[in-house]
Amino acid sequence: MTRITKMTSSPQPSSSSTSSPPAATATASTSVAAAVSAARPPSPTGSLYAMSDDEEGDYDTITHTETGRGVKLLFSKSKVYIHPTPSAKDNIPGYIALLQQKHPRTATDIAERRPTSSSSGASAGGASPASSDLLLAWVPESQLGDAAGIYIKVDLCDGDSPPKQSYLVPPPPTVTTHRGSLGHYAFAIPVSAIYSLLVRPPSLGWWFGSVIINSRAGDSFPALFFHDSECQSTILQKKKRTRDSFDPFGEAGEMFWGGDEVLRWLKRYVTIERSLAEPNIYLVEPSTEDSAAFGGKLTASSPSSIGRRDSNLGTRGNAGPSSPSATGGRGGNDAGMDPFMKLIKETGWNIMEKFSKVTTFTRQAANDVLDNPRMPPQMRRLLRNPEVQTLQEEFDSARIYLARWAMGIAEQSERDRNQRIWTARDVMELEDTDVGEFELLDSASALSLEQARRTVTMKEWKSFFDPRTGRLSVTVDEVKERIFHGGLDAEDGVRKEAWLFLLGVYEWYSTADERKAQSASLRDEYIKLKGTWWERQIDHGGEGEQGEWWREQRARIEKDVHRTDRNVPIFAGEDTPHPDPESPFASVGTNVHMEQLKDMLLTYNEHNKTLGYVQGMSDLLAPIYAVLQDDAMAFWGFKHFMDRMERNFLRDQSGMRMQLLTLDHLLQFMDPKLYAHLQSADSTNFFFFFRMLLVWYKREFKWMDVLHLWEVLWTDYLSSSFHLFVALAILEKHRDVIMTHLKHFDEVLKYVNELSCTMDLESTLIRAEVLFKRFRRLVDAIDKKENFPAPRTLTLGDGAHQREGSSASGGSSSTTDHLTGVTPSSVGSAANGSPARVASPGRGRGKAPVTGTAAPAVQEEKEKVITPELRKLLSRTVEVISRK
Amino acid sequence: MADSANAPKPSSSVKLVLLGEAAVGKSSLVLRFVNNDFQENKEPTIGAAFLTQKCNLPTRTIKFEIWDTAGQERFASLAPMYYRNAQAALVVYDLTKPTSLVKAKHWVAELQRQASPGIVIALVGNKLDLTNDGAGSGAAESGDDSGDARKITTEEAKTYAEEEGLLFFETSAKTGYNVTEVFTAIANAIPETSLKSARGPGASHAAGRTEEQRVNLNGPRDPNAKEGCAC
Repeated sequence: MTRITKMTSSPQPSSSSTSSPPAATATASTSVAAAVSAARPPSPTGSLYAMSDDEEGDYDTITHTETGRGVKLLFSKSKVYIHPTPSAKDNIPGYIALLQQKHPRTATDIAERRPTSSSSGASAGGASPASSDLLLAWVPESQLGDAAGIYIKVDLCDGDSPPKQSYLVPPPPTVTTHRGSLGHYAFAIPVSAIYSLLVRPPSLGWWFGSVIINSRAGDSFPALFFHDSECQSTILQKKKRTRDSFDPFGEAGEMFWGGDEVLRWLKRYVTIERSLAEPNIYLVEPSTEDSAAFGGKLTASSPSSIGRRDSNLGTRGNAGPSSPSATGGRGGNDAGMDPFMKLIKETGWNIMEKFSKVTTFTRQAANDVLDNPRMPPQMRRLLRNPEVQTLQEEFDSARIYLARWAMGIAEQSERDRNQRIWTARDVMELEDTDVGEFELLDSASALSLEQARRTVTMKEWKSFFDPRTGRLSVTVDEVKERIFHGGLDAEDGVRKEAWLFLLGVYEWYSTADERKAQSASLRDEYIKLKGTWWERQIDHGGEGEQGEWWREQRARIEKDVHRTDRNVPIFAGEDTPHPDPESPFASVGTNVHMEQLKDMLLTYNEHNKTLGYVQGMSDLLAPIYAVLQDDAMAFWGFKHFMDRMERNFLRDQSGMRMQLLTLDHLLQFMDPKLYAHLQSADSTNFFFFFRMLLVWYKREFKWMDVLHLWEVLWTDYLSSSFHLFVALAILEKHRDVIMTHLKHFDEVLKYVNELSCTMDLESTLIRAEVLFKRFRRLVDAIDKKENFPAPRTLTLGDGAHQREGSSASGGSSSTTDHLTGVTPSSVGSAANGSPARVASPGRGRGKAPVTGTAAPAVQEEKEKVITPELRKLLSRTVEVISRK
Repeated sequence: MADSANAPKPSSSVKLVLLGEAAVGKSSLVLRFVNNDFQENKEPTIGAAFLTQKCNLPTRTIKFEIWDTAGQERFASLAPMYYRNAQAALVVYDLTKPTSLVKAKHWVAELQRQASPGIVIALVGNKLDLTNDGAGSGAAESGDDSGDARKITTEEAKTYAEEEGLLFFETSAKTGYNVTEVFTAIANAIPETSLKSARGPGASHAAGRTEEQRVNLNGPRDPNAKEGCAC
């Protein structure tokens, strides 16, 4: 018998309503009330409740009758933990359990309950219980008390159905919503009050599988982590599987884990649908609307068709989106054509057999793949194929495909995590699994990191400025720090204002009036500049070579505009007749925004004649225009952006060469092992980063991510070359695959090119920041050690500039570290130059590029030369080509 | 492309580079050949793309390793690192754009001067769908009533190709017309002697690649360029 305290017609004493939290109550229980109250008679009298409402003090609690008598334990599983803090020592072991309470269907039932309650188990044998009578519960081991034996017994009952005998246990407090305070204590939620389960099987980068219960009231219970390796029943079930079928995986190729069991329990009684839109979400008894809202066909399994098979069918259908090759959406929704099937179709079955050669993978890669629960079953079979095939050339591409596919899974699991708030644990695991050699952040700093990664909204942005003068009332660094870590809100229009500052169109400390004047004069100037080529149109650019060049440039610009970001809505249309009937696009049509892009690029072509328009510029302009939606201001924003990017577009490629060289030095300095591998693959020209550096990852990330990335880079908060640390972060992320599978330049280039739109930005940025800080510490430590002033390796000419640069970063470092979460103490110890620190800065876990005993390591560090290129990376000053 | 499951034929890798002015359709030709797909408004290539595709001949299988380059003159200085060691080159022009043939001729000259001596060059006039003889595509794209945007006659280009000893094709990446034919013709034209078996069992020359494949942005070109074979 369940009852919603607040929503029913208040049989409670009035005192209870005063103690109720105001708004939350109504929202929290509305849906449950709606679902439950219709089918139920009015609440029974208070005497039926074990606790009075006063005692509960929590209006979201649904009380359960007959507490003293207990509820029937249908299934349980041990070693299911709550991780309340990032520290493993705080983990709380417990049991997840499915309980059945007695089902009072009618008033008669209620009347009869008392006499029959002691045999409540009897009713469970026959008809299946309603979902409102089922409770999904978690109980900490410490709270089991006398019932511990029963939980253990039921846990070890091996069977698909609940034990014949009724095991009664005290009911945990039943709730329909989770409040933080309840997190560490036992809870039970009626299955009817569960909206969905977020299920993450154990996988790459997420060692323990977990289940999060989302209630219909709209909130989430703490994640329950399945420590399968400690759980006797799971171990036994795994063993049994292996014994029965020589197959440690599920029937459809899944690895067996504890969370499967929970789904299996629930499927016995209620409908569980896996969302196609969010493959990790399982909807519990979804309404038609819910099914529709989650999009696509759902893999439903009714109570009658119980079993893992069902859930795994769902899994297979959803393997697609997680694979990098499914980008662009083609085939992503087609359950029959997941990338793996596509690969088979494309390359032929015999090639797949060569996957049996997977033993040539490194231990790491092989384990990653084999342990991956999303491994397609076909692949698993192949991997188990004892027949060893000879290697042929196809093997390589398939092998790389496979490795990258495994990476894609890792990316996916990261993205899943990003849907939640970043927690200390996330950061730790990220550090832990991906590069394996990052220093751990302690929980305090990681929490501040979560704080720091809040998006800057228009409201916050406005608060930076004096309302009267419109002048910035905090330091530029404070603003930049916020944008660097949080980015700007994508929806509320703050970018439109903030980008003008970030790009340098507005002075940071200008007043509102000054900006108004500035904007007016820039508009005038744009029109003037535009006029210079506008006139040329009359005679098509004029006679001679110059006219030829101009016409050529115009055609190029127009062509490129028509193929730049056409998938972004504002550039998509072709509904406007082309103004120039002679244009090759006259018959296609155009739209006003494409025309604006064209005008701006032509104006820039005129404004910077020595450089002119070069391919790639349209990529740099389109986002600026799309955000500002004001051609004059976008032009000037673009112009400022080009000031720093110009060197990349020079005919002699000197700018690109310099950047790639710097990247070369950086990797050599930071990760000599990976560097050595790239050297052996003839890839140390780093040309595979050409595209990324030329257009600042425009082609590598999705549109919205590019906007975010650029505003982060524009802050120059840590370094004006932060984009090179992003490059380093990408390399480090893919380090294992590169080192294991890519042996030649073309392989590396192909692999890196194909990373496009498969990478997760947020984690890349975090990694880049950690790498930057480690780099800075290393440089500091080496400088200290050598006891020389910093600019020792510089030529005289560069000296002044560099000094300025490093002092800028040095001056900010204390604030920076405080705000971004590297503990000041660790920086301090690096600065103190303790030799151990220098020898292996934060590379404690085996994969360290610097290996061997301490002494040779120090030796190696000592030999590290901080080249001028490297030292420049500490500068926050943007390098601009000087004109005339 | 289906991989014939029976009777393994000898298989060889061929490095092929695409050159030609910007926006003539280099990437689209590759996309058609590799994925049999066409994208309207395909974004300009930045840097270079690397793709592979196999081509089945009656007696052997050729695996093309295709380097698709950015077209704009500005990036021309990077081209040598792509065409070095290439056994084949596709020089593409837009047959609706006269200057693109001029540019194509420059590329041919450069290849003849600087690339591997035995390089097989194919001259390809793309965008045939924009012309009257648009090969079944319907020549509606050019807009005006004549429906023919062709600016370079077949004869003109063909004559030039014959003079220079180039393979010659007119294609449409959009309709797919003649695209596979280009690659098949190149595959056939690669002299048997210059073919090495693909990396695989017994392929021992891979170790020697380090020198052969040396690709360096800064350094002088390697005069001892030999073909590599990669996947």
